[in-house]
Amino acid sequence: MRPGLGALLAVVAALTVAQSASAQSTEQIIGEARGEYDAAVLTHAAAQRALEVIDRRFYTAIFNGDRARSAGDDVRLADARSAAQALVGTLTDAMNRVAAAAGTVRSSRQLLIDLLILYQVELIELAEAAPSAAQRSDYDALLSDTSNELAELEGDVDDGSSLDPVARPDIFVDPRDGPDQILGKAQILERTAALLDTAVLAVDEEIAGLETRRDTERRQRDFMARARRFDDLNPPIGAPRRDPDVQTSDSTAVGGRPLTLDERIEAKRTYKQVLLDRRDAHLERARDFRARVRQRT
Amino acid sequence: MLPTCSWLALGVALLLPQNAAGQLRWSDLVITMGGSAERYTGNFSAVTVAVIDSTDHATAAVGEFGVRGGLILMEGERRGLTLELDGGVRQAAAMGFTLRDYAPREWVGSSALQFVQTLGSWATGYLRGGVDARAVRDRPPMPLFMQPGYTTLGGDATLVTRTFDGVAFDLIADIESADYHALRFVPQLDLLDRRAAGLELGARWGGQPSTIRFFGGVRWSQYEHQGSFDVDDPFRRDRTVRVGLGWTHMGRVIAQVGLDGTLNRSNSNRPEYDAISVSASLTTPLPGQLTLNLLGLLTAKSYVNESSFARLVPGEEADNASIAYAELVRPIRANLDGGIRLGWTRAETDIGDAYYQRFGLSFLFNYRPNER
Repeated sequence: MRPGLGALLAVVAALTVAQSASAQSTEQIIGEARGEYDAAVLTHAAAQRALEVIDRRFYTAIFNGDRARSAGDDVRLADARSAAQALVGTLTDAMNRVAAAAGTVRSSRQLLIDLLILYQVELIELAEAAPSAAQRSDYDALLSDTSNELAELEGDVDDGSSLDPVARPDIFVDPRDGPDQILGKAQILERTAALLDTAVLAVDEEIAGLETRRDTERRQRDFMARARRFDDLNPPIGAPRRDPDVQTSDSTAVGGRPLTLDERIEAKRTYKQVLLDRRDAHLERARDFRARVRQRT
Repeated sequence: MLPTCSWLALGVALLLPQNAAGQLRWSDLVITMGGSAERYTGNFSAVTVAVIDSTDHATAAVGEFGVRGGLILMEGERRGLTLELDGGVRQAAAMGFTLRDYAPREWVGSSALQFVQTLGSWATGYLRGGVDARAVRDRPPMPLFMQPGYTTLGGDATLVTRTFDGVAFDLIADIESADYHALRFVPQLDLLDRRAAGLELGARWGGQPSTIRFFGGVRWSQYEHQGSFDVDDPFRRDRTVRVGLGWTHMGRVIAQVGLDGTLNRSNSNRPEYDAISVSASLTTPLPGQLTLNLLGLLTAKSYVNESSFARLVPGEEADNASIAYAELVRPIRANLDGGIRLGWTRAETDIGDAYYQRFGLSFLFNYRPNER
């Protein structure tokens, strides 16, 4: 079912059942829907701004990492990689919030459009039944305003994809941009994609290193467990000594608990997937930019 | 009694579906299978073994199966509850004896419930309680030594602080009760029954990847079925002081070195001794996806008093043991490792300064069914 259809059906039922329903009451309902739409647009804009801030911090970390790698500064490189990876959760949350806000904008806009169409029908009937030319003229004016608002809203629908969260929203095609500027922006996106590719390679190396360590730890545990299981190693006299708090992995403390190697590997894999998704999104946008240039020329 | 409870718990846990009841999941489930050929040397008797044979060397072909894993019952940022399970069976065909061949079978099982709670920002507390059980059928005579069957109940509380100026402190208190399964022809196994309590304090320096820990502890043990030959204090009571250090490196290579000194004093002259043991282990990846595991444990022991009696309490034989293992492991599939192991043990029997030796060559497979 289309979003908002339930609400629309309720409105239609109210308009049908209540014979006394007037243009004024319809206007009130439309006013409320318009308010909800405006609020949804504002919420989306706020979510988009928040995303832009986090997105900028993420790419700053990626660029810092690239500069540190070029300069051979391992400490700064490690810091930059950690910073970028630490932002992945926040970045994903921010993108989800923008996507959710975009959904609300779309559903509230569709409800408003449907209501305005109903209102148009009602205004036409009222105009036809108007007792005077002056009243008819008033209804015509209202009809004209409603049509303009509808056209504006339906135009927004056609450009609905702009509501969705994008990577590097600061790079976009401005209507005033010429072909060279658009191509320049496409190149920026492609260079960013290349940087993300480099970051993916580094993450792959880190994952491979962690997996090697995890396997080494597992084999050490297997070795000791097998020796101890049948008392080949531990005498039964006296409680077996246990060295307390020997971490089986180094840890990045989160909350009160250190992360295990498996959890660290999983976090790296999530990070890698985010990098790959963003790389693909950049390349797709760059292709789109280049296609626009070809269309113009 | 067979370690029924542990096996039952393990069976129930294995039947649980993954992710059942929300957070319930295995942390590391490993099924182990293997076989080995072993040779034992040493011609003597042992108090705990009813059958006496005159051979000075025996051989055995051994097959084993085991399962272990940790079932995470609760997992939060500040607390966790884990049930650790381990069980196995080992069947040997022992040959070379004068009277007859033997087919000893060992069943082992252990389970422990551990609760972890971070205490503010300054410490982490661990509470642990568990049961270990072991049963042996057709236990052969020496020199093919096998630990006798027993059931132990134990619990400990551990507190580990955060680091203060680079030093983290820990305190461990534990209690234990051990009941050995006296058989009809070896009632002397009851002599091994004991109650014990211990306290250990440690301090650890360093962080990743290397730490060094110094520790000191005291342990009180009561052997309620052993006489002390003192009419005023008729049952054996030991006080044991242990001090030592352990160095651990957890990097691409895992290495551990330990030095452990023990002073055992008793109301009975016979078991008073001083001992020192050095242990070292190394696990390192090698080319060709191989992993090398090495373990060495050397023990030296000297008695405080001269005695013509059996030095050790029966069953304490392996208390004075030197052990060496070398193992090469390689992945066969993503969730299956295969390996070979060489083992050597030299341990004192209950006759002071008499030792048996064990050599073994094993192959093994470790299978992780939850890995893909």
